[in-house]
Amino acid sequence: MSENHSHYVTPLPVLLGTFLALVGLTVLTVYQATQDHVDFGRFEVGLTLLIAAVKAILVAVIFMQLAHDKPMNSIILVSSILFVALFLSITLMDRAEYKPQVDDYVIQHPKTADSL
Amino acid sequence: MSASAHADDHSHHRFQAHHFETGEQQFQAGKLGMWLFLSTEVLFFSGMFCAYAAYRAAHPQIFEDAAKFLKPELGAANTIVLLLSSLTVAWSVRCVQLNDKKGLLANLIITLACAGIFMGVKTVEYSIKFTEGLFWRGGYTYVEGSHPDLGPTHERLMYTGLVMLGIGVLLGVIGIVLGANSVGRRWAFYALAATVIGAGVGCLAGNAYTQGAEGDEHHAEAAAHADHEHEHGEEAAHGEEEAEGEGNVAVEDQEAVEELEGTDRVDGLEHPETAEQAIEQVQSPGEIQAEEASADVVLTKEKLVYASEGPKFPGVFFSIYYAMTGVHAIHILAGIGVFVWIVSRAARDHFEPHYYGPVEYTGLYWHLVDLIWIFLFPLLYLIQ
Amino acid sequence: MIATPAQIEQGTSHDEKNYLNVSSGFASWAFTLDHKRIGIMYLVGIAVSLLLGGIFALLVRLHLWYPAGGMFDAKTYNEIFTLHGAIMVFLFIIPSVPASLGNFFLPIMLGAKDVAFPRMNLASFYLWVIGAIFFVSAMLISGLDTGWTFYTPYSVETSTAPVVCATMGVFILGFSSIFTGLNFVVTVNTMRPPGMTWFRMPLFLWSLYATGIIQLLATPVLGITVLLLGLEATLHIGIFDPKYNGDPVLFQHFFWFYSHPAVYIMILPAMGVVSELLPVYCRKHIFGYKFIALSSVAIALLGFLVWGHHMFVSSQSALTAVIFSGLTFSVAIPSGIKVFNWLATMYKGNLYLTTGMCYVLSFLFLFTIGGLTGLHLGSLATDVALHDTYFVVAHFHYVMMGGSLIAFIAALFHWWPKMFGKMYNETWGRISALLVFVGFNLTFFPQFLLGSLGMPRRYASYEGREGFPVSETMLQQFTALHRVSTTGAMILGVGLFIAAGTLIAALYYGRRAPRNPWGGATLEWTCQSPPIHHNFHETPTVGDPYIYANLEWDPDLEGYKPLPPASPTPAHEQEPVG
Repeated sequence: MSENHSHYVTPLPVLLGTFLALVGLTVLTVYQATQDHVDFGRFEVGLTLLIAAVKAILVAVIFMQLAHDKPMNSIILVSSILFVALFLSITLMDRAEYKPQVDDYVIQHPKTADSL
Repeated sequence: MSASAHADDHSHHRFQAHHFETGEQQFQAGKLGMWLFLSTEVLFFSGMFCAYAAYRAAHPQIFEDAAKFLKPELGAANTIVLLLSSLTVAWSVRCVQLNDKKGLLANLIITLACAGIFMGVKTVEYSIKFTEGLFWRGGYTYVEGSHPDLGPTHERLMYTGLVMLGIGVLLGVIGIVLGANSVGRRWAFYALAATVIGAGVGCLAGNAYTQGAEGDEHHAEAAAHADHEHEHGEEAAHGEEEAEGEGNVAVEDQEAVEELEGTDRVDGLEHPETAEQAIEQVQSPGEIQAEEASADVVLTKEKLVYASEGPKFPGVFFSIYYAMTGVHAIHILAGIGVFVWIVSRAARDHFEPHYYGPVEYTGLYWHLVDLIWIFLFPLLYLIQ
Repeated sequence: MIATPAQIEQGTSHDEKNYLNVSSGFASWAFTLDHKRIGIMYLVGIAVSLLLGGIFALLVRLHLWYPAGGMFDAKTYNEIFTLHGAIMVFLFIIPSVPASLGNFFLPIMLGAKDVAFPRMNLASFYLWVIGAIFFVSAMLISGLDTGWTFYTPYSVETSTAPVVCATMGVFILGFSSIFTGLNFVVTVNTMRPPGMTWFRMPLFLWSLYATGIIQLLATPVLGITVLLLGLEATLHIGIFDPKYNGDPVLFQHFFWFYSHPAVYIMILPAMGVVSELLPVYCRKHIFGYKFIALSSVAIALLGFLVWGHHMFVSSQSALTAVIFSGLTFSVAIPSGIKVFNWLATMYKGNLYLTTGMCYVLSFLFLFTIGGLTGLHLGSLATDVALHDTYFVVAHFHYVMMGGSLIAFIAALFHWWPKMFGKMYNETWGRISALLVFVGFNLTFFPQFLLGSLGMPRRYASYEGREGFPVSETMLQQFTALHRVSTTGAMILGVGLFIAAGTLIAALYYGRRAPRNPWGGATLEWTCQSPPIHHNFHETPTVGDPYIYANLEWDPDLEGYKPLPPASPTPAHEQEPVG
């Protein structure tokens, strides 16, 4: 009777392995960001976010057990991220579009040094 | 295993609500509810991520320079602490599934201690920034090149940490005394004690580390000053700033300092006079080139806008920093509160392999708080 | 089966105590976890909000009787229209149908005993109360005059206290709304009884489900927006306030990312009500069930893609404006699908003009006008001319009031017998429907004309001044149209009072309601009127919710009763369509 629940029990080595992988990725991203040997230039942000995304997926899939959960819960998480993407992409696109006008205005109306 | 078979096995556990047919239905409903709540959390944070992206995209350089005031080591330490707490939460779910009460309690207590450490380190970070005047935009009082004396702050932080340790121990004792007859109350106090002791440890460790790091910087600054004083004193000042910003890199020798100066980016634009000059230059592109050649500064439109926006623009970065980490910290506090309750219930044997929903749901919430930090950390601390 | 009045009496005496009299006393209501009682408490709160908002609306209309403004100074006028808008939007329309009727009927129509999280449901109500207190006190005590949209920079430059207080209120109300939506989504997902498949759910539940999705995905963005706005007003964090390097257009993006989908939080439940009432009063299976069901979800999702059409003249870039304008028209597709399916349901139907049906018919008329005038505002070129004029005011009142409020009243008349076990007076109900319809059109149709003539919204006077020149002819037109509108508003107000009076009088003087007075086939009509505490004695059998052939009018019961189950009716046995 005590073993009949259908819920998945994550094995301990998987939990510990995931934790070590997460720590490793944290060290990697800090090293990557603070080292001076290789400069990825504009891709630096992307690289950092990529590592963060890998970490996030590890947490979601293993710690939050999405891998062994009902698909509905994964759908919820993914769709919330899609809506964030929608919100950010359109808003940022619009800002990038009108920014030149704002910049011109700002340059023509510089603030005094001690303003606010 | 189907829900109906499940129901036949063991009809109603004592925490099953009347309107659910089976415990499994209740568990799945609760889990779905928690996931939906987490999706609202994701969207809640999205607003701040959007603000961050908007201002970083508009002024990447300012964000880089402002972010140099944050210490990646502290952020990284907090990241690992949170990851550890995530591990222990996942582990505690495993324990309750396997009916291991000791393991469950131990893991939850470690989780709470980690949460405490996180908040302790955050206290150190906030206090030092407040002393330096690195507030949000409206309260931003930082003056370029100023070096406020952090000594009193460090002292205060040390006492705060010690007091927290004391309070933590006291809470533990209170738990033993008051909880003599109630195992739930006793463990609730233990849980609080673990959190507060964790906070004390975090505060002390973070404080000691920052103090040490500042000591190193002073060495580097002194060396830099001695070398460049008569040649170009102005720039040496900037070198200092850079060195301070780069405090994480233990700058020990002169070459490193020179390198930093070579990559000097913002230059004088933070100074109002220079800003006005820069604006005048817009009208005469020829002069800009001349300036560029001599001062080794590339005047982009971004810098001009920055200059025109006024010297307090980095305050916007700190506004977003405080908003994001502050709201995140509120979530940590909420999580601590719920976990104390969970510990208390776990001690009273409320959970068993057929009923552990609250542990699982709180765990999911905690993982999400961790997930958000996983993104906050590189975006705020690791901007290069 | 012959039922004599005596038998009915007997039947009722056999009936279990219903949810209203199962327990009594203040605490039995204040701490109730019963979704029906929570729904009733919400209904009371919402009714009070509607009354408050309505009074402010009438004050606005009366003020505009004279070109110079008859009653208040400009500042007070601003406060009053802010009160009207903010109360109506945040306290009335958003919770109206879902929180009151949805709470009451969602579990019953689903065949469940309660919503998934009853305690959260109660918490949602109290959050609503706390939010409402914050909100109303902010506006009544210190005078909020930003309009319900809190646009920066004005909202962060004007006096701080009311803005902070009101944004706190909005934040709390947002949580209340999230809790309701979350409860509905989880309930529908996990608590359907055996046989209740997705496509056997009444359409009202589909619309509440779609509403729940919007509440979950959009409301948190409002939460963070008002939180940042509050911080901006107090600490000047420089995100929205241009004085501190902030970007006011960013605020509008944040705000409308919630507030446009919120428009669908307001209208989708109303559409669900219409989908529910029409087939009952036409005695005909709903036409295009799946299309109506899925168009609700489509509206919910498309609603997230069009927020920028509120910002066509707010420094939004041309590229974004064009994209949003194009996307805006896409919402017309699922809305059109619904309207055409409703018309097809009515076609060759056997129409019963009960009060509920009268209101549904005015919904169809008014909502269609509202929707079609939306096309003018969605296209960029015309919007530039019509933006911030009375045309916009008329448009969204046709949709929000002609749509949501009218459907809300229709639903109240339809379900009143089930909720309180009392029949209302049909004559007075129909009179109210007629007065509301006439009054509404008199109020708002002239506003389309006012708007196209160039009358800006939110102006305290229209006698003309610097920046707003008004010629003699224009002044005459404005005055005439404003006066028609004000007169209409009075008629509308009388109609609404009669509707409220009819419903309240029914509680005291109405005759006892049978189980199924209208012959509905959804599950709520199989339980007692009013329902028992646990809704059903046993888990109900689920069939097609829109087949009326096996229901028969019983003059003794004065209601419908199921035909004896001679032949088991298979679920696929549907009316021939078309």
